[in-house]
Amino acid sequence: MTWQSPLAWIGAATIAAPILIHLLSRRAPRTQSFPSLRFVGRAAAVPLRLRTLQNVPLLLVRIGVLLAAVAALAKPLFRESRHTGPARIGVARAVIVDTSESMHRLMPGGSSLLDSARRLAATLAGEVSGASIAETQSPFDQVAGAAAWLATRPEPGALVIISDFQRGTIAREDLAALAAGTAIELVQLTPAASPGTTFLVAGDHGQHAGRVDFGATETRVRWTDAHAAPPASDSIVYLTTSAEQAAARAAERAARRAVPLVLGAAPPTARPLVIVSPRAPERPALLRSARRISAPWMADVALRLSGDSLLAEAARDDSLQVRDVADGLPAVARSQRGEPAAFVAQGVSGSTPALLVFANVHPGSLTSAALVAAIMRASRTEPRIEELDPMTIPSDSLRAWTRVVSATPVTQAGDESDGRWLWILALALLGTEEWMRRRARRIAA
Amino acid sequence: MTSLAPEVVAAIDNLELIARLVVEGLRAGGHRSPFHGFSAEFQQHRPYRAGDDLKYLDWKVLARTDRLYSRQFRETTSMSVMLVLDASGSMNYPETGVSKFRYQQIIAAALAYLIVAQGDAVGLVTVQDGGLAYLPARGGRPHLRSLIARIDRLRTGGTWEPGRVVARAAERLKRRGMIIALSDFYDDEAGTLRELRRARRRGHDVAMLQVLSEEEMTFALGSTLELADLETSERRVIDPALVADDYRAQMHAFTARCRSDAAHEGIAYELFRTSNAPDRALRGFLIALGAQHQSGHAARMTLR
Repeated sequence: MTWQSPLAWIGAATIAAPILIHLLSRRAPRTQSFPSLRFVGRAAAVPLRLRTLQNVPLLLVRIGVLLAAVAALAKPLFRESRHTGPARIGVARAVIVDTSESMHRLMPGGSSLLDSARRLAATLAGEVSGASIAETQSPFDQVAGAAAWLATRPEPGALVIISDFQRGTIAREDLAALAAGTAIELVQLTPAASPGTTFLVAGDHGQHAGRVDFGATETRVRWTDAHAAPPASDSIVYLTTSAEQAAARAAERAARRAVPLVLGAAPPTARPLVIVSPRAPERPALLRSARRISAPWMADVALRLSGDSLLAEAARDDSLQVRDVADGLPAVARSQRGEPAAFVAQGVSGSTPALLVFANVHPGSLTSAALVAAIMRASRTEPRIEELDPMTIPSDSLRAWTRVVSATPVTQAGDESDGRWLWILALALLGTEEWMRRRARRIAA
Repeated sequence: MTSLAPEVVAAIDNLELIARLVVEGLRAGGHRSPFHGFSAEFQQHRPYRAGDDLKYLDWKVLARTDRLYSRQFRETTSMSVMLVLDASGSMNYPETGVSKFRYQQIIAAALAYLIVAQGDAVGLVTVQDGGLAYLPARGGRPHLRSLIARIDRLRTGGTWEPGRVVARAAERLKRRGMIIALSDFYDDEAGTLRELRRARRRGHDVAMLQVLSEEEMTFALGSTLELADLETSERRVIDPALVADDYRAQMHAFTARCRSDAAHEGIAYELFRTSNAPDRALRGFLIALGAQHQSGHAARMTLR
């Protein structure tokens, strides 16, 4: 709970009023004639002014009325999420959050850079009278839009970019679109030290494994195994006829040459991929059991496959061996005539869910090799190599681009408040007080 | 016969009728009247002694026996009773129901009725509108009606000086008589007792009939309230729960003091509570008065 006008609590001193009224008020007792007061001692006379609290429940109700009214004047907010507290300042703040893949790295606390950036953005937006949050993989593209939005605001503007500021994230020229009076705040988030990543190089002479460690000023590459087995192929099951297996292997070798650098480990075994060739004996059964993709990782892979330019180009120039089409299943590559060269579905491999890639091309074709290569690229879990660039914009530059403008507190006239509930409570207590007073009078009479 | 409830008696507007009802209730109880007057009733003969008044010489006995005997008489002349009534403001309580003053009127009227019925004289002394109101002691029905009407017209208000009124009543009794003072005896306690004692020493029989209400005896008044003195108009806010015990103790001591002072001075005393039936209360008083007279009867014997 927060209070927008905490100074109103000074009014709580008014709870002394009912106590004073209670003590200073003269009672009006009923008068009764009596033969003689000679046996009614003067010492026993009760003073008309009350010296002690006679009706504590009534007093508590009266104090409750005052406290409820004072609390209502203090403009409470029962829910923190509104965050319209007194810290608000009269600034329009445009916050740009970098969501590029490098922001998925972990910070020393364990959370990702992106999570931290989003929390910080929400906090910064809550501090000001007007705020806009934009998430983008290319912060420099959003600067112009932010400048346009700030120009529509009556308050002084401020641009905040939250990023790890890899090289190329932003440049001085990008900030030139901002008006001269607009403040610039560049919040740099630093990831924990990278544990490094492994990679494989497939060439004519076999697979070569290595490890890349990114330091602050240098990148070190170590070759760990000169002839490592291709781990990526273990996770891909290629279903084909025995007669076409030789052609399929040739296509796979070609695919590995087409993907010379594969960073990171092979796709986890929990993400099995099955490529079903046109003549594979299991194909009819798998087609019957195929259904639409529902697992997120399968959707990611399917999306990447459909965006793979090498696969698309190979499929366009190749001829189809079969023309199977399953309704509702997305095609990830199409022939020049628009027919599906490959489409994906969710199915079962053994007893585990698997992404089924139904190829309509010959297993020894160029499109088949492109499909294997595309699957290898799409199923990797590490970010792109350019996103692992450890080099960031120097802090001096970021400081130089930063601009500060003064901000003034804004009035709270139009702010929302939960005080209405306290006013209702005060009214209810007033009713109770009236009832208690009447009851006390009835009893006294 | 069933006793008359105070509320029933007070509901009857005719005070004479009330008095008769009360007295009939008394007679139904079979009690002799305790009022012993003075008359020239023959008592006995005794041998003549030199110096005896010759008018008491029994000539008939002398003629028959040639002996001188004087006749001895018992004084049996009618008695004069003076009722002293308290019409001060304090008697107008409680303001609803049977007030002390109304109760006192009933008792006084019943006594007057009883006294006149046995041939004695009854009078009235009280204070009304600041002045002394006096009705001489006489007998007879017309006087009784006049007396009861006078009692009925009395109104309460202000204060009174009971000592002065009792002294005036004693002065107005030309011979030995009886003074019956009815009051709550709140006012001038010492002065009242002094005058009653003086009247007693002048040879009058004196009776104190203290009339008090049940409320002022028990002080059951409820919650905090402002008490207004009916005589002085003084006001005091009190919490009855806090003062009740002390009040009751003082009230008890007061009535006990009245009773003991009266007994010490040979004054008949009776406490009348307005909650009690008037005939029953009066009967108790008359029995006590009769017993007192029995003990003092020998002293009344006179030679004539």
